[in-house]
Order: sequence, then C-alpha cells, then structure tokens
Amino acid sequence: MRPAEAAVSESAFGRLYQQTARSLQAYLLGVCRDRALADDILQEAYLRFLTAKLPELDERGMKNYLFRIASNRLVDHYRRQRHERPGQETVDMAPAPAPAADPLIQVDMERLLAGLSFQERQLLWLCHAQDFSHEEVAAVAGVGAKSVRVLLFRARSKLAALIRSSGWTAEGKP
Amino acid sequence: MKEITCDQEKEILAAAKNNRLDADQAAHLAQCAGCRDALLVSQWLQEFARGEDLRQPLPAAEALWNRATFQIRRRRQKKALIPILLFQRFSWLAFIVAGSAFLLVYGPSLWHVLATRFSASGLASHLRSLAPVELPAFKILFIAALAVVGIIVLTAISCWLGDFFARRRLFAGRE
Repeated sequence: MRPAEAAVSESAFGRLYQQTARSLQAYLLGVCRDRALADDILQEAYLRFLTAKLPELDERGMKNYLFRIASNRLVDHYRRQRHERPGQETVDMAPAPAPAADPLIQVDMERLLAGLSFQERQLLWLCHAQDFSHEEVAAVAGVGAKSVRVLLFRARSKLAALIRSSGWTAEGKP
Repeated sequence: MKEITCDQEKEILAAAKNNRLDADQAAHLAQCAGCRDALLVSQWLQEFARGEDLRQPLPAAEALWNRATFQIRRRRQKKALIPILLFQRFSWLAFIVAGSAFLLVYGPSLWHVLATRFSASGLASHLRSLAPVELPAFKILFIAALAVVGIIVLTAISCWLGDFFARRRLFAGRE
C-alpha cells in the first residue's frame, strides 16, 4: 500500500532502507557519539523523508537527501540543547562511552574523535567513511561548496595528527 | 598559495581501498604528506565505521513505513477538519456579535421583564410584543432571527463541549 503523500512506494523504500540504513546509522554514531540520539534521529530522518514532498530524485539523490535531513535534525537537537541547557554543550557533544567488540581500541578511537568539533567529525565522516563528493558533503553539511575543501583539509590534518600521536599507522592498529 | 588537496588523492584512496596501489602511487604516497594524511584518516574512519556497523541493530523498515503511513493519515485528517474548526471559530464569533447586539437593543426591557415577570410564558409573550413593528412579516422575521440566535448558541455550546471532551481525552492519553 502507498499513502497518497508518501515520497516513495513501500518496495522502493525497502530497497533504499537496505542500502542506506547501516551507513546512516554509522554516520550518526560517528558524528554524535550518542547511541540513543543516533537511533532517534535515524528513525526521525526516515519518517521525515517518507512524509516530505520530494522532488524527482535518483537513488544517490535520495541518499543525499536522507543524510541532509539527519544532519539538520542533529544540528537542531544541539541548538535546542544549547538553548535549554546553556553551558552543557561541550559535555553533551563529547563522545559517550559505548560498549565495543574490542573495548580498548574502540575507546581509543572514540577519544580521538572527541578531539574534533561536530562539524569536523561530520565532514570527515561524510567524505572518508561514506565516500561523498565535496559537492555532496557541502549540501549535506550545509557548508559552502568552496569552503568544504579548506575545512576538510584542516579537519583531516587535525585528525591525522591525533591518530599518529596515539600510535596508529596507515597499516593499522598500534 | 598552499595546495589543499592533491590531484592524485582520489585515485590513491580508491586503489588503497581495493589493495591495488601500484608502484607509482606508492612512490607518490611516500612523498605527498596530504595523501598520507588522507589515507590514514580514511582507513581509520572506515575501520571505526566497521566496528560501529557490527554492533548496532536496526529498526525494521516495515515499522518505519507504518509509522509514516499513520503520520500521513493524521495529517490528512487534520487538513480535512480545518473547515469544521473554522466554522467552530466563526460560530463563536457570530454568537458573541449576535448576543451583544441583542443585549444592546433589548437588554433594558429584558432586564425589566426578568425583574418583574419571571416566568417562561411571561417572557415568551413579552418577546413577541418586543417585535419592532406589528406587521406579520416583521414578526416572522423577528422570530426567525431569534431562532438563528438560538441555533448559533446551541452550536457554540456543542462546539465548546466537543472541544472540552476532546481535550480531556487528549490529556488522559487516550489519543
């Protein structure tokens, strides 16, 4: 069944969900470092996507749109939080400790990610973990297309320095 | 101006991802700090993402679809109820205007009747006698106007009661 205003049919949504849900979840977790929040925003992003009046989009366009909704929801969440609890922002935007398959490595990785700002995490994740182009990163993160390269370069240099200082190499774990 | 991204970065990252770095690319990687940073960060983030992927259960697509369907239906219901809500507002306004006009015109004599002859039949006969002109057509119009005011009053009361019980249901968590 397809409600008159749904953006896609149920089968098309099922396919899109299979293709994007894991990567969107990993993106949200990587950026916000809060499992409950990531789950909430994941569901909210899909609901908004389904109930929005979309223009004609191909699969890649739908994925970008979805990431954009999720990013905007995340930014809205932090804005609301800052408004409700001024002074709490730095604490809440820092990574929350999460159980891991290999706890020592995961905690180390999370500690390194915590050294970056929200925007830096967002840009790096979209570009390097999701393979988005610079134009797509700009659209999803709401940054000017020309600024993306500079911001990415700075964020990458910062994270690379953090990774090296913790003993990681391109070959893998310390 | 300092070069921000290397031209070969994209190819090197793609080759490294598939473990197909050739000798030229490996040589470039040894010289280019930007590409080394990009490769290190890319591999690190992908490893991190793999770790996250393995641990997290996902909500079912069907559940999300059903929730979206429900939300769309609710939105359409709200849209369909707009004319009724507007009529409710309008009826309140009409009730206030008609009531004020009635009190303004007939208030003093009504007060007199209530003070002196407080009974239903007395009030009815007095209201009939209040018709401005004795012509039958005007009497009919006057009674019709009274009937309209009565209908508006009843509609307003029913709307208010409807709102009141709807709010009670809402606060009681039944909707």
